[in-house]
Amino acid sequence: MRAVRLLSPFVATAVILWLSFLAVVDGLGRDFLATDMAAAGCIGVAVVGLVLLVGAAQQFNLGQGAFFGLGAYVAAVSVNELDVSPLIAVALSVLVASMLAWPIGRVLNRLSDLYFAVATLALTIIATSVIHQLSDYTGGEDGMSAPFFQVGEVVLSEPRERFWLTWGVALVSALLVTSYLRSRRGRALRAVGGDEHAARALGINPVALKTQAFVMSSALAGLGGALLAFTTGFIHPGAFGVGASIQLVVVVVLGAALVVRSLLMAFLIALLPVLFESLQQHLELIYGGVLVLVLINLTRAAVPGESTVRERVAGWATAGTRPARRRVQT
Amino acid sequence: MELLVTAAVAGIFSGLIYAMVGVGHSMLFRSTGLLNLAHGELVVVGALVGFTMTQVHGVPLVLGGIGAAVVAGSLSVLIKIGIVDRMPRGTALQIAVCTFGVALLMNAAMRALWGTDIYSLPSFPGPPDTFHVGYDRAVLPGQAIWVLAAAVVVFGGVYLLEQKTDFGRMLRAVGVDAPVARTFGIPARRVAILAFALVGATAGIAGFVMSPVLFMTVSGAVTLGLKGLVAAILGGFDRRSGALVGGLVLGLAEQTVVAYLGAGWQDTVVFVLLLVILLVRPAGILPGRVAAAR
Repeated sequence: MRAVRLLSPFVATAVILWLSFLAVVDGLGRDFLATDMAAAGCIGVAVVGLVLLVGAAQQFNLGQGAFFGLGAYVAAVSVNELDVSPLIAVALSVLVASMLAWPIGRVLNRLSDLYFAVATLALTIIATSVIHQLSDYTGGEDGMSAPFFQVGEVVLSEPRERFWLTWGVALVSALLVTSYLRSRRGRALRAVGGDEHAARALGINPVALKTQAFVMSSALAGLGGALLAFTTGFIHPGAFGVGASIQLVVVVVLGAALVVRSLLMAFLIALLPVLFESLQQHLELIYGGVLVLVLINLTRAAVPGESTVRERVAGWATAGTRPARRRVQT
Repeated sequence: MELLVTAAVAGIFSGLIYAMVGVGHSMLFRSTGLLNLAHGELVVVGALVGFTMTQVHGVPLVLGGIGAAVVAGSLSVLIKIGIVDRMPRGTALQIAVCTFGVALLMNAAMRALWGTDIYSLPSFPGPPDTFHVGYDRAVLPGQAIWVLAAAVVVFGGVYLLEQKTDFGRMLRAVGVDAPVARTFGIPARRVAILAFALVGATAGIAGFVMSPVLFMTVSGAVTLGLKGLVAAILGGFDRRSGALVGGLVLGLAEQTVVAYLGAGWQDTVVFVLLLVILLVRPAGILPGRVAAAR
């Protein structure tokens, strides 16, 4: 019974994703969107990692785009230069991302939350400028190509197969993160996010836990980036950097830092601009608006005399019958 | 040697620029404890408004500068009233993230109004086009004099204001503890609004004065604002002279690396320096007070 309760949201998400893929690609006949929908899965993997930090550890990480790009470039460069198979390249990306994230997370966790956000933003800018500087390997602004994903002799040349690969990985990592958050360590991490001093008093080591969370989150970003290289077959610096970090954060903010909801948001946010091309021009406007509105709404929740949008909607719906209940989020 | 002198000259110059951006960050932090991540956008707005007023509409230079200050100052006040005041329980982090959203919105608005072109004013009249400092390649643009003058006025003005006037004392009191200041009859909210206005105005003036030497584009605004922030943190966030010292150190470090390794490493140096300083001396490089990293 517990297994059913744990699994059902993920199965439901998979069904929703598959139905929308069928509707868009087969129903509307937009074959060219298939690769974009597969690429959205890679963003989903990075988003799942970010949920761990923003949702559980309450750390605002603006550096996820850096590890996303790191993963993509490590994967593409190792295939092109070292001639390894994509599967090994993905493993290498995850390894490099986690090994870099360990010391970085260790030192960044000494900072307060505000400086943590600024420092991770700095990480993103450093990553972008390093990608440009190593243009001998990365192709600089022009980007570089990568082969499609392949296991042994089987090449995933069909976008449909790559869609299943990336979203399969995203759903499995979402499942793993969810069960981690429900485990003993996951509960401890949430306690640290809630009140670090109280958690310390309970015998929890906040620094170790937060560093672990940072490593896991960055490893997932590296995994997503590596998959992206083998899904689209082409990567360029514009897909990573500050823009990507903002996109990932906006997705998590819209998904209320909950695992499944953020995954669905990743799908929507990655897909809407491709479906409606006019939106492409106004992405900044949309992302900025989302951040401003959600954060203002978020901080009003606990203020006496003020109400959030959800409470107001609930108020209209139940007009005077009972006070709006506030859901406690886990 | 020539390389070093060249780097030093260029470094002092770009250091002044970072100091001019950073002074707004540190002044805002001292008086309200907040971080405005849309500060770089305010600087660029100042430059763009100044350009449009003086070049398109033929307004005299002085009025253009005033216009830049007024527009950037009003936008800053809008951020205070429209965003910060609507988050009464918001933590500094939540407000900073929200201003990051404002930065994105301002970017979109500026792109709609001015496009993505580079806007650069001609050098202000007065000094010659360039100064040579000993070596052929150690060249300083004449506009440096105006940037220096603006820096002296801004830093001197901030010093006089905070140290010698009643309003400055109120500003400092609100910065230390707003609720206590309120019990002493200081109108804390009004003081904070004025602080935002002043910070916005310095950003506008900085953008206007730097416009002939710094190619102002909309997309460069985020990085510019962050570099100013790095300057302020480097020199110590809660010091008046912090942004100046930090900006100069930052400019010198950056240009030395550029001279020896190439211009592409510019951004990397600046932000690696930020990470190092946050970890080693979060209170800034100046001796004395060691405040906890907030």
